[in-house]
Amino acid sequence: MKWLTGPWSTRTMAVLVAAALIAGCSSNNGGSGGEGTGTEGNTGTTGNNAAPITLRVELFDRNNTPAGAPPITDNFMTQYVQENFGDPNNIKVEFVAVPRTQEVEKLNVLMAANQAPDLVYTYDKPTVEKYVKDGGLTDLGPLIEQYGQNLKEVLGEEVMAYGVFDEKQYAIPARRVLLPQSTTMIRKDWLDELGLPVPTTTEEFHNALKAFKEQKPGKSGDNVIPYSNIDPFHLKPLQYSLLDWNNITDEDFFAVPEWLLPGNKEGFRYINQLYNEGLLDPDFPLTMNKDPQKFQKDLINGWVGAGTTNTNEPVYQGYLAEVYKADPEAELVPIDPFNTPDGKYPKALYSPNGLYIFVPKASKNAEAVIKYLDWMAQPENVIALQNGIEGETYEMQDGVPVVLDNDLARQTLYNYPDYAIILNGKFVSATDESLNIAANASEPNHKDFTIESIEKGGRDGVLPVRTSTPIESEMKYAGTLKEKHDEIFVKVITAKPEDFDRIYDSEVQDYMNIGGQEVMDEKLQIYAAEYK
Amino acid sequence: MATTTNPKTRRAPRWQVKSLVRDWQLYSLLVLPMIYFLLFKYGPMFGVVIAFKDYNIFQGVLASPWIGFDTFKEVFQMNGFYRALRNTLLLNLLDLLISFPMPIILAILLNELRIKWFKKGAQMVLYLPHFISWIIIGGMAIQLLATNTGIVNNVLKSFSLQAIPFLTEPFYWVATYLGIGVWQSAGWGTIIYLAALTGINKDLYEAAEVDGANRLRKMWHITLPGIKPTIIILLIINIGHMASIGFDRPFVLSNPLVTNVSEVISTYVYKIGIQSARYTIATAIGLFQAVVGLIFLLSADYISRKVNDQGIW
Repeated sequence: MKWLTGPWSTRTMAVLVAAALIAGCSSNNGGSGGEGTGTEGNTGTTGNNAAPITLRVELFDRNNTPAGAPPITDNFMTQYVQENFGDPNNIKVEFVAVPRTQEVEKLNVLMAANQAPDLVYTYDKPTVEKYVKDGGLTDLGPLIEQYGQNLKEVLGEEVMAYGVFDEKQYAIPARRVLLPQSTTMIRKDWLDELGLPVPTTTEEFHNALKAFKEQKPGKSGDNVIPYSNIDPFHLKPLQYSLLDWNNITDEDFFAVPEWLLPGNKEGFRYINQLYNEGLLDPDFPLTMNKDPQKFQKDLINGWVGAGTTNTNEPVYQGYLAEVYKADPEAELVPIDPFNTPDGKYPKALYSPNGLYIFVPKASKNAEAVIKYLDWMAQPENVIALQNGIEGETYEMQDGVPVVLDNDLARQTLYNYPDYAIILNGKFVSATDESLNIAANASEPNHKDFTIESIEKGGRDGVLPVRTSTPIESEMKYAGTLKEKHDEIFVKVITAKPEDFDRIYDSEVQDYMNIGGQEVMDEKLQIYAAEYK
Repeated sequence: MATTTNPKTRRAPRWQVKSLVRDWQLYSLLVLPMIYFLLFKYGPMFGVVIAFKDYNIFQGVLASPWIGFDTFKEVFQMNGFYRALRNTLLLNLLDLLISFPMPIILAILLNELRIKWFKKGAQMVLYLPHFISWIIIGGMAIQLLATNTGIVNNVLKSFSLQAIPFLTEPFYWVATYLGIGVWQSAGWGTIIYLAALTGINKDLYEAAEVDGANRLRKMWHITLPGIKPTIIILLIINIGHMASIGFDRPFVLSNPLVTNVSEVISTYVYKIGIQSARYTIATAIGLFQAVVGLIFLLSADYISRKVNDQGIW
């Protein structure tokens, strides 16, 4: 009967979501209906004592509520918001659940049906640009000036600038507290067993992989995968270390597709060599970007020697603990081995913004939205929405909230970022970065792993170039090019060495033909216009 | 439904209130499916108008500007579209050649079985794959057929045979795609033929036996002609679906190494139309697909009428 779970769970979820939406809509109708009659009644008697506004706020539903925890639309967080923000301001705050994995599709539908909440958000920049282009968003600039001083302070000017499109503040970007994207880790116990040092250069890393392959340390046996989790995103640290940075201008970095950047081809020739030496996960094309669980399973089985993951992901997704449970001998340590000839360790950073928050033009409550976000930006509310109740779910230690290891904390905080939407990552101080890192190392058992991951994942980081003009060709070709990108990545890495040049050149030519050239040309123009 | 209403209309060619009153139960049974079709099949047809408009979700369907056939021009200029169309037709054609006869053969074989419990058991085992979600099948395919780590190839390698790139080389991928399709659907497809087989007059078999026909002869001269109408109707319907293709199967089984053969219209529309919110493109391709499907269906029906004097209506 196991095979029934797949379709069933999606079906149940669909029904639940539908129910949630219907509930959301109907109660809203009820609310606005009440509002109407309320004001009618009031105009006769008191005049300006208005009935409460209903403020509808999008909420990601990750389908991860722990057993026993209250529903995400009625729990500590929502009650805290209602009591401390809603009630004093005569606002009824209502959370509208949207499934996380389909947020863009769902948002598009809600927008098209004119049923979007007053406050909506997405991580997807092209979606925001499309809404701006189609004229569907409220200009929030004047309202922020009037009601958003706390908000401006917490986010800072640099972050706010990411929400400017066509010279207007159409979106409020969340502030990303920690910028590292990914960090590499390696089985220290394997290195010890083989008498190898913890790698600090690409060469040492390569040697370690070869030793893993030949000597199959630990419990790996024939299943050994020296380096796993191979996909375009997680191979960036290695790829970036192989680029010829001295010959890449900011303009190139922004506009030219990676495939044409100086050094990229030789870099991939090296990665191709690693593959043909059997050092990379041999069947990675089958699960790449499709099944992230595979890497975790292989790692827990003790087959994987090294892997690059989202920074600190092994801790916050809990699979580091699983690895240690499965094999008490295992020890994973964060490393940063990929060096350039100049001794740098370049890697991609996130831009300092997280998701984009915005207000549909059809909403009448833009003012309440800004007031809500400004309220959220006040330090005591940030702390409460990220850490819960002092003494029950967290304690203050050295100015940093430390989450307690108890059931209440787990049931209260598992999805806190979905409420404290203006911040991506735990935030304590706008001035002291080390306090923020400490606050994010909240898993007491793996504190060192987290801190090291964050530090190593950020060393010599390269920030993406920011532009504010919507890139129309990118909106058009994004889907096609992303797919082609994956195709090239897989094909050039798995090619036979003698076919490498031919495949690389013809595939990249193809990439340029199906839209790559058009996007590059437009980006060059935009860069020239914005960075005169 | 069609078989119960058809003879009646023939008996009373002119519409009569009397028959409506007499068979009101039958007609009221018909109401529900009619509502279903009106609500979910005819109602949404209004949305097709999006294909001719520069659809802006904030302006709505009606207010968005009319652009005529511009979207279609754009679609027909997309390189990816032709690749997806070619793959769709190719995979469907191969599917028709290989997957279509399978249930017929299986049904005839099952029909020949004498031992009741074995027949039931075999049917059961054959149906089961139909109920497995494609997501699960995709996972099983990778576990079993992956080039370097799959169980099948591990066995081959242990006999020092060459590994077969079932999922990573276009030719083998197509074969795998077809094979898994047969495994998943052939058993389920037998149901309709088995039902048709029960309708064959037993006397014919007895008469053939008296004439000394062997099993193969009986299959060829009695069983097959007996289910011929069913086969033809299903064939025409299948041909009508030539231009459309399910989403799950190609999506789940594909990977970036075989995009050249695995990208089909449904996955292409998903990527271009839905993920990038370009509804106009998605609608235009959908409409194109429907028109091509209609042409295929009508021509198959026409040919069948000419050759066999038998069609779908």
